[in-house]
Amino acid sequence: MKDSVYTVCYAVVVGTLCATLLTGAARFTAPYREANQRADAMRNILGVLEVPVEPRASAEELTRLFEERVREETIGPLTVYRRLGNASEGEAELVAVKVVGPGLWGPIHGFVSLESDWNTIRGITFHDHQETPGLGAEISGEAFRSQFQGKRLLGDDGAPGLRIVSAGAHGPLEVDGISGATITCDRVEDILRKLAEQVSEKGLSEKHP
Amino acid sequence: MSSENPNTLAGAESCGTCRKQGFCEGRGLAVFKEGSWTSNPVAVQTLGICPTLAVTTRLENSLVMGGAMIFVTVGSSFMLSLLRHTTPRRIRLIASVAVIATFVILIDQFLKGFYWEMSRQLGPYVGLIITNCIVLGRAEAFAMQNKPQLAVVDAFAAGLGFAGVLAVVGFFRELLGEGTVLGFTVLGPEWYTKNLVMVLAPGAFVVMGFLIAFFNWLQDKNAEKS
Repeated sequence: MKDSVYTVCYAVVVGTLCATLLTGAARFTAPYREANQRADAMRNILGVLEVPVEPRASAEELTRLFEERVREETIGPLTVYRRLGNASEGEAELVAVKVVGPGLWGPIHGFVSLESDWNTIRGITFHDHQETPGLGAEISGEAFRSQFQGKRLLGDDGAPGLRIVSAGAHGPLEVDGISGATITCDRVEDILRKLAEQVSEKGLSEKHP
Repeated sequence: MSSENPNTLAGAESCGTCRKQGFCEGRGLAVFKEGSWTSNPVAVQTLGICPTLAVTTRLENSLVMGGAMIFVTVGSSFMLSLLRHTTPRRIRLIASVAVIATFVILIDQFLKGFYWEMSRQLGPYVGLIITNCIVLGRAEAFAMQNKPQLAVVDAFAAGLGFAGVLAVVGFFRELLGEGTVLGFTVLGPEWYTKNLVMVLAPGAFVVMGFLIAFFNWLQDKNAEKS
């Protein structure tokens, strides 16, 4: 009995000690981690907006470039990043929209860039997720992401129509999924469907016919 | 590791006697050589192979991973050695893992805060140090039976042995795979064709094979001498 009490007390003391250390460390590094995460998000937004970024750019450089080239705005439920371009250089209007939704193991965060019709996808990234490495995590791989270029969020009837199919994707409304990552692909499809609904509800795609 | 046990026990004994002299320094050097070289955790005991294969694509990654490993082994061995008399036997293993996990998360948080790019490249492998058998092995086999001073020497030796092998593997993989060392071009792209195999996992196996062969050859040579 005395033994058990000692064991429990010992566990409590060691546990509290470890937890205190970790809490301290987490609080101390939190601002730095958040700054890094923000910079990482900025790099991804600049990436889908096709703004050239140096691969080894620091957080400060990214912030500067971001403030120079991107304007953030909120349209209803959507967070939109508009590329500020030089019309003289012939850069078309391009917007990036923040997307988030549940994945297999945790939330998937990403950005989708849309052409001025708010329907045609230009680029897509998933920068923060906990999908299975080698399977679901391949959604952030170039092979999967590059398929989205030129695909459309909405079908001809104006309803959300983009699907991730298991094999033989063709046409502007189908994308090849990843073998062994069916659930992740379904969730990505859900995320894009939600985006399509929000975009069409707001009438954004009509605004730019 | 079983081959080490007699030494470990001898260490505990000699440490008991040398307490009167006040220091364990005489034993420290032997422990250090044993831990980092003669029974190198990776090349001789073939422990910790997973990170050795996974994060050694570039020298910088190898060095950071090695540093993280040294921090965790030294920190956890020191703590567990301090706690060795008070730890109840029944929850010995749980306490070890809790302490190790604390140090792993500390270094992981540090990398995420101040070395973001590296933290992304190392991915889950920093967190996976928790399950690395070198750390728990040193804690169980050595730190729990020895004074903190000596436990730190032993843990540092094991960590350094691990880091050294990682650095060697990382050096050759980066040199042959990308023609660079720490990002600086050494083998010019004009005349050197980058070898993709070295960047992929098989490259790590090849370099590891040579390293283990080298250590075996050394052991054979030493055995012949004596």
